[in-house]
Amino acid sequence: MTRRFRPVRSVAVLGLAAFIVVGGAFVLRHRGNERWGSALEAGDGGGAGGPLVPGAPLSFGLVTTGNVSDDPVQLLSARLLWLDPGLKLLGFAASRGDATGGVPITAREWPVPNGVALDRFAPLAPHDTLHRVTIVFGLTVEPGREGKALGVVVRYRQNGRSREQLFKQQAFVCAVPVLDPNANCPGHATDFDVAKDFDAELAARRHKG
Amino acid sequence: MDVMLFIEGHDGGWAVAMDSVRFVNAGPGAWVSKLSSEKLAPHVPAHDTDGERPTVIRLQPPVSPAEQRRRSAGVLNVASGGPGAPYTGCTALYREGTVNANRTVADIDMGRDWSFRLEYQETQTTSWDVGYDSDGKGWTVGGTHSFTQSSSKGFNAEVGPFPEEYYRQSYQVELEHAKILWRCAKQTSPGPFYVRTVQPERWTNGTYNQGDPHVICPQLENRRPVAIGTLAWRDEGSESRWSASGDAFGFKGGAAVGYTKQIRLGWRNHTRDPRYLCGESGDPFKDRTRVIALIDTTGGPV
Repeated sequence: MTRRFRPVRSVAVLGLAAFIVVGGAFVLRHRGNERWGSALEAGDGGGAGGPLVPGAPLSFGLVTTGNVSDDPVQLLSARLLWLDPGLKLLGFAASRGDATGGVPITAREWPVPNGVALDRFAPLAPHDTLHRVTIVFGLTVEPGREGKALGVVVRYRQNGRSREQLFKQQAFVCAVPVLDPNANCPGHATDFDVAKDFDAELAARRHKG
Repeated sequence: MDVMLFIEGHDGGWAVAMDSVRFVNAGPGAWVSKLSSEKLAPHVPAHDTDGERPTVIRLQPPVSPAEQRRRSAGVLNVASGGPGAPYTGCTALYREGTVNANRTVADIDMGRDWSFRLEYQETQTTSWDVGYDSDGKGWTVGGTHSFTQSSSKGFNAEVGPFPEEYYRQSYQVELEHAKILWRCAKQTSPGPFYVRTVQPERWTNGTYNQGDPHVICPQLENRRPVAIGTLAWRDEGSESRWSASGDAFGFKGGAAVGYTKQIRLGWRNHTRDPRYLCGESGDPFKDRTRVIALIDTTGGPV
């Protein structure tokens, strides 16, 4: 008795095997590791910035968020999605402000008062957007440079899994020899002209490399 | 006895006829009306429309042929679904009129040595309050309405800093509002219920700066410092709820402006001290609130 060769069935078997291999690798790569999450209250696209004397710090409290999920969330760390050359990241902190007010949107200091490392911040209770946390980061700039930090990626643990969430915020700094609160950054008719579309800004930088 | 005859046609048009009738004793147990009795009826010339026999009064002007065709089709060209809950199954019967009125898209209340930038050139993410009236007692805000329209003549303004203690101005766009008569049902009753709405339908491209908005800062936690010489602009995807304005058929409505890539609002601190932005009812950077740029650097709530 002979068996006929069936090309259609062979292709189907090979396709199924490829699906299992690729899908299995994807699942293994992501299970228990970092995946994009949505446990944190979203808020995209704002920004802040201004002139800065080289070496001096400017901190940005742009990401203010709460836990909108059913589970407690523990903040772990944060990173910038993009940082232009000539700018230096000083670090991240989590804060809820103090008795005099909320966390600064911008402050000419680093580290910031009442700021703690993200993994030392108390877990965020489920469905709590009343007691928000602000993720603050600090920048410095080299002489003669200007640029942006684009996107704050916050890593947190939820149900034993580590996840990341992107906040499309923009922080802009330019180097000036002396700080004049009325002066725009060199070459800018107005500093507000840096308020541009996040995705377009990021795409242009990635295209440039 | 005064008699009023109210008629509603199939096309939604209304008419009212009025007359006076007097009953006269015509013998034991017999009464005749003054009008039905030829013998007693007064002679009224055909051209005489004054006095006790006024002519038929039409409350609405004659409809155009195009409007007549729309009504025959049972559809009125109205860009919304009607008054909303508790009403259901609403059908637009009649566009009773249009009027232009201004709606606020930003209330600026800003201390000295702040500046702000406002970009507002399209309406797509703005929700305008709709007024409705079901019992003739006045307008109530019921739901919102949105429409998409761009205008290069919008606001693209960078204003300040000023030496005055406070700069206060409402930035408004002129919208054409329509008053619509609807026939609706309720879930508990087929009705019909007649409800009127006032809703904006079109931006005339008009822009105005007027008013004197006073924004308050009642809670410390809604104050957020902005450093010397720096600026901040609001979160995309967030929105601000601005004050009610306009007078469209007696209705004043508010607006919630959603910030986008094209609609932005930001402030810059021009002093040598950090100062506060404060949200009247939430975080000034991301919540649905009006914002005041405060003069003080250390004070409490204002």
